[in-house]
Amino acid sequence: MSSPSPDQGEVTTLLRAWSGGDTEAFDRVLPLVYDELHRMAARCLAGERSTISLQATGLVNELCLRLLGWSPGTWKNRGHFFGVSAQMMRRVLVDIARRRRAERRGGDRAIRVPLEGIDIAAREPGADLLDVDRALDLLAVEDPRKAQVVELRFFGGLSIDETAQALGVSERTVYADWAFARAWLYRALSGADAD
Amino acid sequence: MPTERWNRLDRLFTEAVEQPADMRAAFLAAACGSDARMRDELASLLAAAEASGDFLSASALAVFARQISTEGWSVKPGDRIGAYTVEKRLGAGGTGEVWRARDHRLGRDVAIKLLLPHPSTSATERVQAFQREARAAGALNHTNVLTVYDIGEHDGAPYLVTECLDGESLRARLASGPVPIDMALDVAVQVARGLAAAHVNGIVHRDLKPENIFLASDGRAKILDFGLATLMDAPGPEASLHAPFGELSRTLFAGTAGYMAPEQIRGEASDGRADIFALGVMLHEMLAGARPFTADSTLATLDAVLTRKPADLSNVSPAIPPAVAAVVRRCLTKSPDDRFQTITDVVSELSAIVQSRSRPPRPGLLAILRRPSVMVPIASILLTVLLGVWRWRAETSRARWARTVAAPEVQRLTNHGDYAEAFLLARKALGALPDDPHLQQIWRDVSIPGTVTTDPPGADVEVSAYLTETTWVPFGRTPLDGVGLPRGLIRMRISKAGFQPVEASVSPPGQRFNLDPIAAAPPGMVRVRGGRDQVRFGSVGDIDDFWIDRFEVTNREYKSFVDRSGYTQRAYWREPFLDSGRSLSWEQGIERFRDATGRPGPATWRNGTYPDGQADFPVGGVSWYEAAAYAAFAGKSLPTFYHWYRAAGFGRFSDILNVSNFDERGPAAVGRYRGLGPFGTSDMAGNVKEWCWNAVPDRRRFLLGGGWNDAKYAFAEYDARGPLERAPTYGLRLAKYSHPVSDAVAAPVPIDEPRRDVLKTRPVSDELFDVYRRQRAYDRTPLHANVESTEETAIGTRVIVEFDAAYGGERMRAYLFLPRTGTPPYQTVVFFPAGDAFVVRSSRDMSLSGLDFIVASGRALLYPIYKGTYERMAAEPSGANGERDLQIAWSRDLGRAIDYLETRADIDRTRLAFYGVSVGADIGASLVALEQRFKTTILQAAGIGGEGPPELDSVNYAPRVRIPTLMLNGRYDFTLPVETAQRPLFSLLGTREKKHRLFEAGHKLPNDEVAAEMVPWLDRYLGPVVR
Repeated sequence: MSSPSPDQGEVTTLLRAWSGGDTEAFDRVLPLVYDELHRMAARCLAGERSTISLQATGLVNELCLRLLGWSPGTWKNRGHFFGVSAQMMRRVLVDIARRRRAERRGGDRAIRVPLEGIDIAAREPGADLLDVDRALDLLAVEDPRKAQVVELRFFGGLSIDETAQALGVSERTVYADWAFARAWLYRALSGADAD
Repeated sequence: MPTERWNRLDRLFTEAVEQPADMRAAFLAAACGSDARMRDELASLLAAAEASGDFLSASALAVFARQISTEGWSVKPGDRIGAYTVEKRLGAGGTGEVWRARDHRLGRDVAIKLLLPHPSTSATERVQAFQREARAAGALNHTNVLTVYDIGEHDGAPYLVTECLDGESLRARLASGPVPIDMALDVAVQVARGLAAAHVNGIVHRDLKPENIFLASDGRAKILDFGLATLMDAPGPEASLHAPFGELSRTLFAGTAGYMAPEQIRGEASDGRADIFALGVMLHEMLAGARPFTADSTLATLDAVLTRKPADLSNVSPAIPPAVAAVVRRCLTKSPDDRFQTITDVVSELSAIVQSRSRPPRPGLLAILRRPSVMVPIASILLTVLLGVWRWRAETSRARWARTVAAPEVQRLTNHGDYAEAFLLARKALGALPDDPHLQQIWRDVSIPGTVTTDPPGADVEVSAYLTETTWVPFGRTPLDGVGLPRGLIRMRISKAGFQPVEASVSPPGQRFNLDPIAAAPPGMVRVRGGRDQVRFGSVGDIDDFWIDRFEVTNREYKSFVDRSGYTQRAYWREPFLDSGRSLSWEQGIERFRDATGRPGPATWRNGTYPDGQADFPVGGVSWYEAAAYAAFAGKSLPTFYHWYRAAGFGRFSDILNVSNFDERGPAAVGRYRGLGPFGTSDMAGNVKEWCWNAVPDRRRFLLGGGWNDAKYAFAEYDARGPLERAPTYGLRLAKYSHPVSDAVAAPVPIDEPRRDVLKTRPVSDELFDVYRRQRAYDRTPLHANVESTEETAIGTRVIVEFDAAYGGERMRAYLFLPRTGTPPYQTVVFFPAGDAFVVRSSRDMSLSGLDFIVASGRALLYPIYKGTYERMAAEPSGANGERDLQIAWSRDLGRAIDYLETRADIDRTRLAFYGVSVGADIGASLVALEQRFKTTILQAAGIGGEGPPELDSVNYAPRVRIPTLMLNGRYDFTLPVETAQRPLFSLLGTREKKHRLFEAGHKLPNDEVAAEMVPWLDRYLGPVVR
């Protein structure tokens, strides 16, 4: 077993402190999160490629539940839970991507988001996850709800339906937001890629 | 907050997307009107939407997961894979990553090859390939082949556990240039030998290259990575379909094309001669510093292999002997038919060359030295040779100690019965020299896998020898699963911060300890795990965990009872006084309990106190009534008969008797004798006898454990005395229960139910016995025997043979050890093992200690793998019928094994002996009664058991044993007492030529004493060995 994991209460406290802005708290809990991610990632890939997306959704929620716990009083509602999970996942992945880039161990360490789709061999060019994150921030300035939809769907792995529930809007709205946001981001990123 | 403009853009986009594609332009024109910027904006967004495909369709986590796992980050240092803790990544290859890991059970480093997802192959293919590799390599057991220990799966990724080597790959070595000739030849011979072992087993490597040859720092060369190995006669269409394609594409991917034989490149059938080709390439490369076929690209290299002649080695350097160049040339011929046909031929050739080179003087070299033009290179060659020799032959002093000092000492200790000492020493030696096969075999002989767990887990475990306490050695941290435990008793100390430490005796299969927080444990008491055991007079169901005093009640403790007027407080004295059935009043009774000077107190006291200096001695001379009153005073209870026996824990080992107070003149301070029980008690054996709660039906009360004036066997015997009696050896210890005990447990123990008197039981008639015999008969179908391997081992020449079993279309295996002394045909002893064979999963891990003396005496030893043992392990029999089927199988397995022996000219079929130990001895009587081909039998640790179905009952078989029989038993065998189990069996044996030899030991007998008894017996009844 790897280093003794902080007990449940400590993790929750740290994560809460982190959402409150305490970056040092994140440093302490990140190894645990990273651990979980690794395990989940390996499990994710042990299965066939087609089930990756399905598994990933469950995994995000599983991770958050595991780390934060689902108890009455912790969450205002399911939507709130999903929202925080997605946000957390985003910040974790972005943080990891940033650290990997800083490590400079040789080879391409950036996390690349494929522009065409995931089933092509991993080495094809894509947008850097950090660029996606940045672009999303720009979108949020223009239209917070669309950015949220992307955050929930891409980082949280939620379906259209679940996103609608989380945001308290209709599925049609989510669908439209998603289509627009994707196009907008794609345009922003492929423009950057061409540089 | 989105702007108005933004919202418009949003709305229009959504509407536009809903338009059919050919209508979009028109829609845009109409919707935007003169707002060109809006129209351009929308157009570009629509174009982006069009192009975006599956952008963002997979979640970020999926993307992340995919990427990092193909990078090979599925484990990190500190992760646990199976029983191993991963430490450092050693490298990544074509098939996966290799990590160094630690096996905490054996305290050694191992290498774990983890197969990682690769985009170009599917999951099932990968797993199959991997399993092929494991099977191929696992079947080999040769010093020049990487030893495979284990195979498993971790989070879906298969892994292979192999020995971890210190040294470098041949590829790494070649990076610094050509290798000295002697070293090149040495490596080539070793690799060839390893290949020979593989080929003999039908395994071809197919991917031999310097990356796959490891040069260990102890001088051995090892072949790795049987990733493409195919079993030469493996059936299955998928093998031929996938393998050739996989080979080529893999090689192309890996970029190491120069080693593939032409027939492999062409996709034709290939066999061991392809390995010979690769070996030739490597030998050439070692000598010349470059490969015989090189080109810029992989494809060009393949072409060179197919069409071009290799460079001649004699032209490369004059130092290379022409004989070597010839060997290389013959390995590199294009057509496999022109090469050496078998790898053993290559071994012979190269060995012959090596031999001739080691003869001094070497005029060739001298002649070269005289030529000034080669002075400088020679100097550097010599330097390389020197360095190479140093690196090649260096042996650490620890390794030397392990081999020459520790190993024989371990042997000696084991034979003597000092199992824990042998175990600790073997562990240390194996830590110093983990790769040594001899030590590994020794380890298997001294240890057996067990489990030590605690609740809660995470406790530190230390161990020490049992008989004489040695320093405490760290053992690990719970849970310890599959950890090696000595084949005897060992002391174990369990500690965890905040919890009461435990010190207890442990033997295989191990133990589970419940830890108690310090505050929760009653002072001076230890926790005994409840359960249901076979107590001698029947079971009373489950008993719960309970506490028992660690030590007997001392004088000092008892004095506080006396001083607090315990003898006048009627409330403590709850049991009515009875003297031989006559009631006494309380006043009358209490009068009896006075010390030597007439004051209230134990019989051994004077003037109301204990003898000087004996404060910590156990109180003695107390009656049962006084013991019960003291218990009431202390707020505890007298242990019941069942609780006492549970806490005392009779196992297979009687070592406790040797460190307890028996055969002495008086009591000792509690705990002075180091007889530790399985729950942490002291002095349950000896010192004073201890009163228990239960009565015998005639109202005497039990006194258990034996006292200082008893012989050792009194520990397992019970005593019962009148409740008023007060001998000096009568004392007590107390127990504490979580709830009151049931009536059944507190009731009088029915000891006068007679154990069945086997001597009065009539065995079944001959007609019925014939039915039993027929049940075990089998048809003598052909054996289809196949010798799997023949290898020289420490215990003689080991032949592993496989043949058809007599049932079920099964195959069974047998190990035949042939002596190195004596002349064939050999007398043979056929063995049936004890219980450890039923828990060890592979015959490779079988223990041979206690058997080597047979082979050393010039006799052969046959060790069949019976049904239910080792790899033929099965679930436990469901009941009597399952038990019978198993015994019938054993009978047939034994018959078949002898049938096999009869096919061998080197075995004297008229001189066979049967040797069974424990389980093997128990059914030995029945096996031997039915099998006519034995001349004599030795039954070790056998006895009559309880009653069972007649077809399984020794009572019916023992009288039909008519060959000379030697019975070997321990006097202190708790499971088979001398009087009630051993002697009855002995008297039932039908032969008149029989001997019952008792040893001063428990169920397990010391090997050297057994040998001293058995060899003369065999000399007498099989005849002396012809030298």
